[in-house]
Amino acid sequence: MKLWLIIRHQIRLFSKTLNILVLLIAAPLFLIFTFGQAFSAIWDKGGFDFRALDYFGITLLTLVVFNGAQIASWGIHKEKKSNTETRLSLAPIKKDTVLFGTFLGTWIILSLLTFLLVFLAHFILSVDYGPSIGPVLLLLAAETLLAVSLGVSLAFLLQEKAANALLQSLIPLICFLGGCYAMIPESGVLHSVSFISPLRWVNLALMASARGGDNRYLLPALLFCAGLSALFLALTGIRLRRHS
Amino acid sequence: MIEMNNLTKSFGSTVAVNNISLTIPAGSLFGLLGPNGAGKTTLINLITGLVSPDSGTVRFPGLNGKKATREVKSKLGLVPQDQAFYLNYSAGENITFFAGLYGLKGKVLKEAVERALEFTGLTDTGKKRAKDFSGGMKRRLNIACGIVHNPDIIILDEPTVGIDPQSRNHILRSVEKLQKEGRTIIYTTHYMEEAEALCSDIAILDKGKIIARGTQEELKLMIQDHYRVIFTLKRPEKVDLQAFKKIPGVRHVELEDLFLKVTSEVGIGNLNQLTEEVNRQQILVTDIKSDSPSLETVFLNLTGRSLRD
Repeated sequence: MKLWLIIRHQIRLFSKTLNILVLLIAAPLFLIFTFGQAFSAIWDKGGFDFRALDYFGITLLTLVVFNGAQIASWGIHKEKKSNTETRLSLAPIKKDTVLFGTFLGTWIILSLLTFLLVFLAHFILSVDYGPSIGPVLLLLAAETLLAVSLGVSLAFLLQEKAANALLQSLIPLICFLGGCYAMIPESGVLHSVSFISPLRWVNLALMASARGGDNRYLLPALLFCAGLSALFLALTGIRLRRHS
Repeated sequence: MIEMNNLTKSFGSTVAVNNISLTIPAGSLFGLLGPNGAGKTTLINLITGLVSPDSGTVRFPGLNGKKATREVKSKLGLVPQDQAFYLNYSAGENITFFAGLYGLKGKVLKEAVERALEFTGLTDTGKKRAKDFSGGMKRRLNIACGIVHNPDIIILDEPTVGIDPQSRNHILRSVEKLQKEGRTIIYTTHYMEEAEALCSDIAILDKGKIIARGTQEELKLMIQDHYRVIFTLKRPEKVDLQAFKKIPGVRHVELEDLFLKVTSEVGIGNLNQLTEEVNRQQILVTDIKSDSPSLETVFLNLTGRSLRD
């Protein structure tokens, strides 16, 4: 009951910040379009069997989705700054209920935004997400799960500056290794190291699914994201219980 | 009833609360009086369990509990010094959410929200976003969020700082009303006139310690050996306060707008010397009067400082 109260509250809080939601939709669409156009000539010369727009329609999308960690963290620190955390601490509600409620509420709203982005990118920009949309949405939901759990956990455990510093270092690194900024070579050290990034798996799975419905990376990518997410939340939950 | 035994809390090298033992009877309107930084908020945070003490205990015998158990939490209501609600929510949405945390739902929830809005005079603005509220309305919303779950113990931490007189009066009247309903209220303030108007039982806090405790009358009896002379100046001007301090028997001198306030020991008979000093400094005075002891003078006498220093 109280978990549902926190989930609803979190969704409502996000829905009240309309300007941020509009930015979260408009900015990625603009980026996908710009990169797709800018790199189309290079892509044509490279002889790829997919367009630059389709490549960035996936990698920039996963990059933006992973930045959901920052949004989740920002939401919690905003709570701390507005002193409403004091009231939550005083109320007869368990800290882990607040943690999971916040996590689930943020995940639901960011997942819905991500799905909206996929549909808009497909129908407005004509990005090709393959013959089946199901695996695409599943993978993005899993990536959102990972991003939100990372952001929420760090925000609960660390001060704002420390959490931000860590996220601002981690997110670009994970995105780079995931191939969000540039293609990862087919061989070599970078190729091997790139597989420690969950985004590498998500991007591989999305690319394979988009080009012919190949789902061989789907399960590893889902397990990687869900496993890491569960680990973050479990560690945070244990820490909060010990603290209280 | 709240029992505090040997409570101590430090932050680094600063001892915010220093070995405080205090019992607050059930149903009382208890005033915690002290200047900024005296340790009032830390003491409140220790009572509510928001921070843990370095040593000592807080108990709630009437509530069958030690510190911060679920039962105790549901009976405690805090109105923190800073506004603690969501600016993007309306007053009604804020109160509804916080009431929900205490398990209120359905008709009971709706009635509790309406009661809290009415109590704080926000019924007509219940649907307005909190960020569009005036300072006084925000303070009242802060109170509504803290009392909506009908707590037995209500702690108000400086609820009237920085608001207009109308909202201030509304808050003071509301606090009296809450006490008449039988609740235990802890009211912290550095406005001595508020403590005088509201609180039957008062503790004066300074530098983390309770330096005096009692009813208003008991506290004022502590300084029967002091009197205060107030000179009303014709216009604001520079006054050499040090010269007044050199007069035998003078304990404290302060200039507040047009009022030069001199506190002296009784029986020293220095009124002539005070008026001579006024003449010597060529200060134009329109009125001279002596006033009876107030909590302000009690504090002054105990610490040598003004409450608002």
